[in-house]
Amino acid sequence: MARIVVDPVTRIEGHLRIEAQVDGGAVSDAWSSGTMFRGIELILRGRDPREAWIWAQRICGVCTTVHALTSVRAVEDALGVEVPENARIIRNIIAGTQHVQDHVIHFYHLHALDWVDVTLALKADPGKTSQLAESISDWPKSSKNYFKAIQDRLKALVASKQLSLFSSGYWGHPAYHLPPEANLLAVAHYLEALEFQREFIRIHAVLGGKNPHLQTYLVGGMSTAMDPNEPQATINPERITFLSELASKAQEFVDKVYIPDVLAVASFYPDWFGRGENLGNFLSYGCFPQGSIKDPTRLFLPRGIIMNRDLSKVHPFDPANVTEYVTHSWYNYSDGDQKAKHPFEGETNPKYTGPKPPFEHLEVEQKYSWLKSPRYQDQPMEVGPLSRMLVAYASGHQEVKDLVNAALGKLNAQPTALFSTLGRIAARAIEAQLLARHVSKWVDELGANLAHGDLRIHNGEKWDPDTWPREAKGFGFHEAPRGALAHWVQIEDKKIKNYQCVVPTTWNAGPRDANGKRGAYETSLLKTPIADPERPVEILRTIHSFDPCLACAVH
Amino acid sequence: MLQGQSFTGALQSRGVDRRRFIKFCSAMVATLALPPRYVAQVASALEKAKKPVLVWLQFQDCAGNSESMLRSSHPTVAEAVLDLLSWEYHELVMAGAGHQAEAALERVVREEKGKFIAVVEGAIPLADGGVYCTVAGKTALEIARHVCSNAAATIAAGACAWDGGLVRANPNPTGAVGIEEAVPQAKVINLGGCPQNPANTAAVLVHYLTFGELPAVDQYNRPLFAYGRIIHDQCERRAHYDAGRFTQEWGDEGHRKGWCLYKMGCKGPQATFNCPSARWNDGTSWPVKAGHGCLGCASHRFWDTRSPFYERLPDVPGFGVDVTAGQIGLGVTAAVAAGTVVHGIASAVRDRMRTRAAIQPSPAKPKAKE
Amino acid sequence: MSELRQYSWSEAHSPDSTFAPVRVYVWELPVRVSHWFIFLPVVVLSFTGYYMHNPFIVGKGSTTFMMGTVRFIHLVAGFVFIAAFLLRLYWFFVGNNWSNWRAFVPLHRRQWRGMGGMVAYYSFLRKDLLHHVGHNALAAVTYLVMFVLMFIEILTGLALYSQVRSSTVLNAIIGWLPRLIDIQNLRLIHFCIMFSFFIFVIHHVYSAVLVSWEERNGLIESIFTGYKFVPSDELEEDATSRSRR
Ligand code: HEM
Ligand code: HEM
Ligand code: NFV
Ligand code: SF4
Ligand code: SF4
Ligand code: F3S
Ligand SMILES: [Mg+2]
Repeated sequence: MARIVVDPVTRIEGHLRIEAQVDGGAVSDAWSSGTMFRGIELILRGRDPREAWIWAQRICGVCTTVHALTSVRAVEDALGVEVPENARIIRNIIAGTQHVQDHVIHFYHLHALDWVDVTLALKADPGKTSQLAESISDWPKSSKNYFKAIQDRLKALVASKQLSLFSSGYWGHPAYHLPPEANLLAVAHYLEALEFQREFIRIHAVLGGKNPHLQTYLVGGMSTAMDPNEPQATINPERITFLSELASKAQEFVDKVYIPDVLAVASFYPDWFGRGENLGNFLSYGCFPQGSIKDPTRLFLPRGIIMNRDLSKVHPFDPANVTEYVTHSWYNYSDGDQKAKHPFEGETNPKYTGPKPPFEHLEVEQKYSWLKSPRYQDQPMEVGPLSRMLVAYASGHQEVKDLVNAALGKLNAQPTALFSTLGRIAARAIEAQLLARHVSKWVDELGANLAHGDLRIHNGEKWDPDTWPREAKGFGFHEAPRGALAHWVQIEDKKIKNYQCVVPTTWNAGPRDANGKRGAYETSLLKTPIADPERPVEILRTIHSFDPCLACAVH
Repeated sequence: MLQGQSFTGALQSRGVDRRRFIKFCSAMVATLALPPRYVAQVASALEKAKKPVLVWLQFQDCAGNSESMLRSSHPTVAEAVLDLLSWEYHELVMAGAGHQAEAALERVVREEKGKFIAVVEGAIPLADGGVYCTVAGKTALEIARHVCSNAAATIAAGACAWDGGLVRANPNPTGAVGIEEAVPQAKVINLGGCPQNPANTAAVLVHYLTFGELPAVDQYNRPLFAYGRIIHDQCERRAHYDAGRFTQEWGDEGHRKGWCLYKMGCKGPQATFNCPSARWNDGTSWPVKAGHGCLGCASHRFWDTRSPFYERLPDVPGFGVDVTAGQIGLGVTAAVAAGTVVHGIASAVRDRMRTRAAIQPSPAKPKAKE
Repeated sequence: MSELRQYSWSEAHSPDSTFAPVRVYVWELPVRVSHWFIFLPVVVLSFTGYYMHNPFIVGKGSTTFMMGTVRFIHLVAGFVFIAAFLLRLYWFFVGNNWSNWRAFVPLHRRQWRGMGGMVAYYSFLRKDLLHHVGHNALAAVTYLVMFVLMFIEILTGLALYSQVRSSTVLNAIIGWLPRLIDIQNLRLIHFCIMFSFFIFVIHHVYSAVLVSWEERNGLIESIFTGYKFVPSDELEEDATSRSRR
């Protein structure tokens, strides 16, 4: 019996600490703690709601843009502003691009090293690697010489004894099962994905001025002026062509590299379809509006809730049922910490009661995290790509069903296999595939509007604060790469009175609630086998499968 | 320094030819605003240099500066991380976790003392004993002191690391500060911006590798090559500003034609940075080009000093956010004018009453001499 | 300790010869020149400054150079303003009794009492004006405040200019200021002080007209010609009170 501490959990965004009790070679209990707090909800108070998105976006630089989008939606909801068609499409392109980008980076740069032993790639036969590559995909970069060059580069790195980022991995751990050739293939694609993300994200640079932290949102629309005849307009025909090219390259990369790699890796780790199981409750707010954001039926990815793994029923979602506990979080509620609060009544009163640093262990019986514990109808929920794909699947979303079935077919697995560590990875890849296609379509839509002379990008009716009511409150939502994201804003006298963010990773990584119910991370770690408590790669696998973002979660 | 391979050695081992290498050096020299004759010096220095060790620390951050670095194009992040430097610690992307990660950092501090480069991302909370940011049970402050005071140089990447950034914005709930303030004994160069631009970060690193020292800095310890000129003077919309052609409403004709964003709150006239020339994401664009005003994100304490972002001037302390200095000024002026008119009438009345009073007792007529 | 000489309104307005005014050369040429070369630039600076703050006229064609021109005019007017200010500053130390710095800085009880009297007069608590040859005590303090504000306006203006034009000379002179106070706050100060000029001018012109009328002393003309009409014994009183200081 031992207490394992993983701190820092690396290859994630932010400061996550996992403490796990290991009994008989498996995790018997686990505690998830976020160890950094900034207080952005407090910093937002008293500021101009029109610029809240600029501040809120800095909640996270990895899932950049998603808080900006959610924030403008919250303020638009409060003020009753509908954005023009073009702004809706541009926002979808930006958000879709973010998903694809984030998912690719997650798989290759944040997660792959849990499954890929870089040092084994040195033993690979480049010729066989080439064969393996060609057997799973017709991606052109697959020659023997290509893999040989990658291997040489890796050899030079190892010979230099300066292994850089790779210097401290769990190399040689018995839980690694890929053959050397697959490891070499993965290393090659690790590097290619680095190139890919850099190139693909130029979509954000065009539409947002820069990435991270795009700078073109407006309450009421976007600042990316469109004109078919003005070379100086941010969006013009030449720019549309450029966006199309980038989008179709992304489609190709996802189809020919990402998806085949995920399937290949998964096929070597079939056990992990049965591990890292979760709560069985899945929440998706739905996203990518195809019409008015007020109409939940016009969301490209549907809204809904699945309870107890029952894919036969999708429950409706009502924002009134979202609450947050602070029973085990380093905050105080003014009327006691046992009751949960709806975000419109939400409070953020930091009060650290943990051990004085430097410390060895957290006091897990008391408060032990900077995350709050969000609940839906008092139940913990898992959010993320898996929730979205399951809700879409269960709602009968044909395109999602086809993609999911295709992937499951290749892996010889049932839909229930998705309730697992690998299920999350597969769902994320499938979603990237789906959205890469649709980013292309949305770019085409935008191009068509431009050609037809529909140039409206901003609804200025409520731009002037004098047009606002004295009091207003709004709910803004989005499905961020990591899951259901919402901001609740209250405006009084043209200023932000209260601002509350309930964030995907808060749902998943939050501590226990007043009823002792665990969140998704803590639940999913239970029963995870641990081969070597000194090198708990298995914990990383499951935690990473959620793609944690702690800056988001605490904010 | 550890046994290592040089940058060109590393590049050659993967078939990067010399032309491309020289091109890279030229790009760096251009970013650093050095005369072209320095290309050869940069090239030869990089050819000789053994890879120095770099550690990247994250504190109260959003990882935006790390992500920004991932988007670096000259050099690409793969070149920077694998070839140019030995990037030994960076929580966002490093292989090891937990104890292994801690050990990697510790080894660098021990074995590379005084030689390695530290990059800091994020602010450091000083309030309440630093409990607002801990890694492995230790406070950010403790780690920063331990690492940065042993580094040859510390690069503050982004606003948060420089001056506390967003985290320090009013009311600064965690008592956050930048690295310079937290660890005064560290030798720090500040790369403002939210996030910093990786083109500049790369140039600072290349400068350091080439000349063995950090580039020239301004009063905020920001490199002059990147922070020496105001945005407004480099902006492609400047001709429109001078001509008085302004975007008046989002999406109006002026906006579509690329007119100046001054009236939409652009802080370009109050911001130094090289965005218009360095641009972002492989030179693709920058915020003003994309139609939104500059926030002045590379300015000192910009969150409080450059906001509100859609207004020309800061809020006047003591008034609501929706009242501008102009409204207050015009209001007070009008009130004074009105008061003066009233006073004038009252004085005229007094004058007449007194005149009457003066006339009554004495028949002499009060008359001015002139 | 001298008592202020007080006149009743009827005394002052009586044609009685004891109070026959004499013509006194109060405002020497540099005072008048600096006055008007402060006033004219302030008008120009206010219009151009306000335009720079809020360019209410938006150019359309391709040849206008509206903002560039306005900024240029602002700067030229700014330097004229600075020159006039410096001239007046110099004259604080070499000018006659009424333009000397001592006339402005209320170091003397007499000046404080005079201020009280003027405040009482403006608020209709006393009927009669206190007589004086130069500025009345309240006006003098107001001018002092204005000179200080002018000085701040110049400092902030130069600081803004140092940012527009990164010249080493300018930086050496004023560079300390933007380091001390953020440039946006300097800009806000620069902007707000403009309104203090507006407010001042309203009161200033009004009180000049009012006092001129009440005292029949040719006050308004004085700022052009330099001469005021002062009751003869008041002139003596003025001189003795100064010598007794
Ligand atoms: C009574 C005197 C003055 C008034 C009323 C005045 C007024 C103004 C106003 C309203 C602004 C615009 C502020 C904004 O950005 O919102 C401004 C800007 C400026 N003023 Fe003045 N100003 C005065 C004197 C000066 C002086 C003496 C100088 C020094 C040369 C000066 C230099 C500047 C500069 C450089 C700017 C910034 C222009 C830019 O944005 O490029 N001003 N002034
Ligand atoms: C920006 C506008 C103005 C400013 C800053 C200003 C400032 C001043 C100052 C500082 C003095 C004291 C003279 C000295 O010792 O240097 C003064 C005196 C005077 N000014 Fe002005 N002035 C302005 C506009 C005007 C205008 C438009 C008039 C026209 C009626 C005027 C009429 C006078 C008169 C009559 C005096 C002598 C008043 C006295 O004895 O107190 N001024 N002014
Ligand atoms: N959790 C989270 Fe985010 C995402 N995706 C935000 O809403 O990562 Ni930074
Ligand atoms: S400076 Fe900006 S991008 Fe960098 S960590 Fe801070 S908020 Fe994020
Ligand atoms: S857009 Fe901004 S930076 Fe560019 S000229 Fe206009 S005010 Fe200056
Ligand atoms: S906001 Fe920042 S990114 Fe550049 S354009 Fe302005 S300095
Ligand atoms: Mg929250």
